[in-house]
Amino acid sequence: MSSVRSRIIDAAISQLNTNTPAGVPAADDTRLESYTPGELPSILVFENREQGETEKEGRWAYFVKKALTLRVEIRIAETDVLKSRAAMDPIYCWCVQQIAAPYQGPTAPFGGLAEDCYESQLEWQYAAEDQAYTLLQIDFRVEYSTIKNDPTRTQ
Amino acid sequence: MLTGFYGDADIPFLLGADFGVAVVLAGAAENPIPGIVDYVGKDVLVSQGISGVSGTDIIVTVQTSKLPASLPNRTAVTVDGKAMRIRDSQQQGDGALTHLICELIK
Repeated sequence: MSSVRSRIIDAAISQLNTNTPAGVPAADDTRLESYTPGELPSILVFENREQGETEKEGRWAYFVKKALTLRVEIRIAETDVLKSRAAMDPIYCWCVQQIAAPYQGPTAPFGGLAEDCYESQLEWQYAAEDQAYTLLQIDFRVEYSTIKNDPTRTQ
Repeated sequence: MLTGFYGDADIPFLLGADFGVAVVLAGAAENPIPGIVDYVGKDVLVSQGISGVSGTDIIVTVQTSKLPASLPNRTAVTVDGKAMRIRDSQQQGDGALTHLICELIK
């Protein structure tokens, strides 16, 4: 059994790549190679950082509460940088709709593995080359818990 | 033996021979002018060593004295038959040559 974190990331990518609407690219998992302009727009998903905190209710703590920063990056190529905002928007909306989870349960995006998931920080970067390239980084904060000595189990 | 130096009058020949392409500036009095175009690959928008975009710097070298006195960025330019727009113009060295930094119009 893989870790809960690994299953959450797999689930996020699966959700992004299921019933994807026209104009929204398939999401890549932790791709290291650069995209050529012909491959854009693109969506890239990878884990960025994670923090843990013990959940002590008494003398001993059984669980560790974790906050995973799941990063989704969208890259767009447009000659006119103002057009990149319009081109970025439907892809951004799709990512949030598929990943952010308003509730926990078997129908939630992560199948109940996470307790909460929401956008915590967004950042844009721009590059002027043979055309304008725009990058939007979306950090999702994914809160979940595992047993302290077993990252594969939530309980 | 005397060493020969190239002067401004020699630049059109240097730019026009072998590598030269026609550069047509929108609204300029003198068109076309000779230039040399370089396409230099450059990775941009790389974060944390993850991915990025394989961009290209398009640099067109032309003779400064052939350019109009006022050459605002975003001026339309045709380089070797390709429609482009000037992002920036930067004089080089003693100023006899100018690099036009261009983007493709799609």
